[in-house]
Amino acid sequence: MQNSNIHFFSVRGRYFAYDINTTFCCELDNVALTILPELLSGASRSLEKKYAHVFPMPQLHRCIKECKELLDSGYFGVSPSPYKNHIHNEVAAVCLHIAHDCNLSCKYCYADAGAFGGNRQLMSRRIMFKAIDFTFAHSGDFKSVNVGFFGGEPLLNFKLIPEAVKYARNRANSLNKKVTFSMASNAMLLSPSIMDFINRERFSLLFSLDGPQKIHDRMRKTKNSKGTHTIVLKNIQEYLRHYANGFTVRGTFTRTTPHFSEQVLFLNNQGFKSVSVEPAQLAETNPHSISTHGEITKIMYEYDKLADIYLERFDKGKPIHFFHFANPLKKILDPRPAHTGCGAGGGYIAVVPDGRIFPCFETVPEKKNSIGHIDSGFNTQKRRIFQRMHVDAKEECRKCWIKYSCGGGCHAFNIRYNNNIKIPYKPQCEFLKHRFKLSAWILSEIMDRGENAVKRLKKHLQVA
Amino acid sequence: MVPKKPKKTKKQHVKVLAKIPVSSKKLFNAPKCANPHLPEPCDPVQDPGCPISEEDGCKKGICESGGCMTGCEGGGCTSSNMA
Repeated sequence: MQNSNIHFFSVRGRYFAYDINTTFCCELDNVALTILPELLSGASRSLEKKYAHVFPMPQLHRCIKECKELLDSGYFGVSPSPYKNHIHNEVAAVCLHIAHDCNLSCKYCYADAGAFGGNRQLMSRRIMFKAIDFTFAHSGDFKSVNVGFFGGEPLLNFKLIPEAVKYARNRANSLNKKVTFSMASNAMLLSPSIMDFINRERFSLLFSLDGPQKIHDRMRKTKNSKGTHTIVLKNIQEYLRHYANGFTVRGTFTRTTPHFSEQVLFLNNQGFKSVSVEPAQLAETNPHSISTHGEITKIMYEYDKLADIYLERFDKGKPIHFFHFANPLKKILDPRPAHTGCGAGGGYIAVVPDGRIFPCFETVPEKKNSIGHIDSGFNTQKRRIFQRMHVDAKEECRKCWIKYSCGGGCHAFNIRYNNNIKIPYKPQCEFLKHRFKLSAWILSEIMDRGENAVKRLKKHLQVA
Repeated sequence: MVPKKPKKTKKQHVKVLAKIPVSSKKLFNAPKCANPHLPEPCDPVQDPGCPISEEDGCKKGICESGGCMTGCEGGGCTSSNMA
């Protein structure tokens, strides 16, 4: 039994032990913090004698018993079998870049305001239908296929979307499969008829809104440098008022707008039930990137602040929605080790207006990431690179304690910022670890409030 | 509604944060996942890279370990937000 499989950390006066292999996390008190490492290193006898002068004997006995139960549980301190990296060839989802153009010119845009480093263009009907055909043809035994509409701004090419929906439904019916739809939009062009359509077709939606006007309008401007907050907020509120709440609102923070707790609260206060506010992932040279140690520290502090707010609002019966706490909280509640961060290039592909296939939308700006073309099919060799890129294939990740919770990070960031798919993009790693630790702290605090509090949290997180 | 004042729980030396009671199910003896997309039934724990079957909670076969598009750091994935 190796101690190296267990990572110990402390957050705000609480101690935790985390099994690197099983991703199982528990809180330890002062006694267990001494006893558990002893047991992990194989010492089981004479612990009472060794620590009799340090801890009261009843406590010591009970602690040894609890630690042994933990180690006998099968969750902790175990060595897993070697991971077999299955290659998944079937495609379950396609991201159609139906518009490589955008009506906005956001300062932090990774996609060159929709052009992705190429020409501004809309996807043609021929490419769109062919991409849908390609996806169904490669969907294997998947019973359901997702067709996503992406840009740039997909609503710039809205005229094709109803045709795509009809076409994909027919294809699905003929194959006895289901099809679902999704779209990411800046919400500027949401007219009543578009809202009606996307609601009727049960689109899964993601709208971009950075929170308060002063933050949003600083970054998300029209081509004429005008702020877009008023229209965007009005449109999303209209959608909320007339239709469902089943959408996510996503905001971005940057070096120049680092106080994101304000953004999270603003979006929650609008009544949105799914909120994600995320760091802009940009090259160090970009004026809006968060990349220096000082900036990362500043962001860590903001996460700390948000953890306090999370608990405060929870105690008041008004819990907040924040994806980056909800996600690790769910992972801690339901440990499930992951060897990949995503299925880019495997179950998921993106198709751009000229028909080239990419592993995902994030990989599109770099032409070299293309893994084929819908006319000629997959470039199997290039696709394999992404399909095989599980966490243990990345040397730095192999040494990292949170690797099986993370799954190895984003391939696209690694390629873009480190020019190597195997070298992780460090700011993402740092944030991920910090949020995980804070989530462990939040959960532990809530557990101390009793069973009802835990039930409320699970209900809030929609965890069974 | 403001919840009642929290009750104090029994002091433990080891507090398990997972919702599964430690003694109830052994992680490495988890039931086999009958995912049809794999060459052979896989263990969702030992081979967690597989898409979890629909019966096991995956609605799309593309989310989480099977292909969540969390490239933009989380909530950026529209497909993973499907109801």
